[in-house]
Amino acid sequence: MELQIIISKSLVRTNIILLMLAVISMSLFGSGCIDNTNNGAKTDDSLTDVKLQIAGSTTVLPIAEECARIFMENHPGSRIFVSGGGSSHGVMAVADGTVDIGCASRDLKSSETGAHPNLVSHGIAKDGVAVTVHPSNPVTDLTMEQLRGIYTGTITNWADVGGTDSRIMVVTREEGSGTRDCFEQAVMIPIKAEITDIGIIQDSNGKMRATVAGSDQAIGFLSLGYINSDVRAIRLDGIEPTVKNVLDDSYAISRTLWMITNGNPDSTEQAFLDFVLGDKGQEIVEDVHFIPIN
Amino acid sequence: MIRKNSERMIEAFLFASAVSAVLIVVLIMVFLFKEGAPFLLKYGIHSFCLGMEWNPIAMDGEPAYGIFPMIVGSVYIAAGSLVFAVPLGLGCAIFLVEIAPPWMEAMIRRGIELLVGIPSVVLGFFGLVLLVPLIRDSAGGFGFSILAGSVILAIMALPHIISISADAITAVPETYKQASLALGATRWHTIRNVILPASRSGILAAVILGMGNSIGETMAVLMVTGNSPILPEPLYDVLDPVRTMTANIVIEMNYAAPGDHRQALFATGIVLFMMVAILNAISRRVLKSGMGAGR
Repeated sequence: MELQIIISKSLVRTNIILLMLAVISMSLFGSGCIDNTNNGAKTDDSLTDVKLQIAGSTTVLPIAEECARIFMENHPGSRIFVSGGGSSHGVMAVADGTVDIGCASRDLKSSETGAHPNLVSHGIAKDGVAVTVHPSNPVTDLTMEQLRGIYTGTITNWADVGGTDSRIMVVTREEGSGTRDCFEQAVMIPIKAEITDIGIIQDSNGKMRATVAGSDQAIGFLSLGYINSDVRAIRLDGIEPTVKNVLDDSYAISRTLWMITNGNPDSTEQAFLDFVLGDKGQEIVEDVHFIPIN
Repeated sequence: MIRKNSERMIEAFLFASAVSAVLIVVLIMVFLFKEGAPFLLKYGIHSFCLGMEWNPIAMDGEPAYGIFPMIVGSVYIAAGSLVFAVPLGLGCAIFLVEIAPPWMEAMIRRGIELLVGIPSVVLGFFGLVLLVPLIRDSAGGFGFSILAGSVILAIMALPHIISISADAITAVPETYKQASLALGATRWHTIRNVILPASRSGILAAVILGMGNSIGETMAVLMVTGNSPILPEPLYDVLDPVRTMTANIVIEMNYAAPGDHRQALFATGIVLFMMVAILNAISRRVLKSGMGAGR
């Protein structure tokens, strides 16, 4: 009797071990399988068996993920794999054929279009980056010159730009962030300057907002969709950061989010892009705080 | 016969799980060094560890990968956390073992266990919305500071320091205490002159282990230290923001393009790993030497 109990117990244990091994090996092999899926997608015409690989910008990631999820619901049997890696990774991966669609939250660089002239960019959403301060800050308007002075560290007191006499707390995003890149493209690169090292660095839009909302000395920048009553977006050269001003390009700090294909999209890629650019896709774009492109 | 087999299977399983821990460490080490070491050698260990500028995505000119300010940041915050955590933790441990009545000890221990259960992100958020403004308004600066990171880490290190020192104090032979009390020493005299010296090595080990944990902590620190990759100015200004090595890796890993930038982050990991390994080795050495001398 006792013997049996011991045996059955050890059997249970080995079963658990086997189960664990199975799970581990499945997860290992699962990641291996993904690499093989894009071959079929290039030739397949029917929408019931779509297989797509998407990778790239973490800014575009929420759009791509949500679109993929709903697309797969609408087309049972289709499989879309979405992963991050950053804009540069997205461009490289689509260029060398590792993925079908690359995502980028910045325009293609000339070095990239030079090396891979086949790449075709499809704009899927717009985004503006608003300069924000604490709601109690009397400063409501900055010129581009003043903003550059603050972010290069030459202007360090709010009194110098029409505010109260207090130190300016510059808040910025981490190197490589798409939002930071967008800000740098418009504000820093034209004067070939780096953002001051003295700044506080926060690594997400949410933390940036919490930081600016928590300090009346702070200045930061936020993706437009994250603006709420906790912070105040200020006018830049008199132009308010609004959806309308971003769309007609009158507001200076804005960008387009891209999905990139290698050559013209094939039928499955086109089907997915059509979905992203369609009503449902653009609704998702709005849901995750970006500006629909059309 | 069957019993022998099942026994052998269990043994094999236990052996496999024991080996797997070692194997995982070795694999991680190999991976870390494979990714980071080539860059470290190429860029130069010296210029990497002692370089003052971190600018991996340079707009103009060469990117710079100097992590000295972050090494300083990590050490500062870890050491700062000990300034708060050691007196508090030690006091708490002495109270628990020597003074507290059993019901109170049970209550306090439960509280400490709860403290361990608080996720570091939650502590970080607490720091971001409460501690940072508090420091800004009362001490000055921007609030995002070495001080804020140290306080948050002290809260996280406290349970570990308490439990290890409490174990060390409990391990002091009862006869020492009885002898001291029998000689007419007061309770406080006994604690200060007999119990603490006898448990010195265990307490020291707790402190060093606590420091190792603190250096490796990430999320909570990341949220309250401001993450500027520069040295405090002046160097002793605990109200200045700093970036720790862990924060450096977490903040930039998402974006680092394969190549120098990513490898530099792995190299940061190597430096961090070495520091923690050395601290652990020291604490083990201290514990061992104390065991021999204490008894």
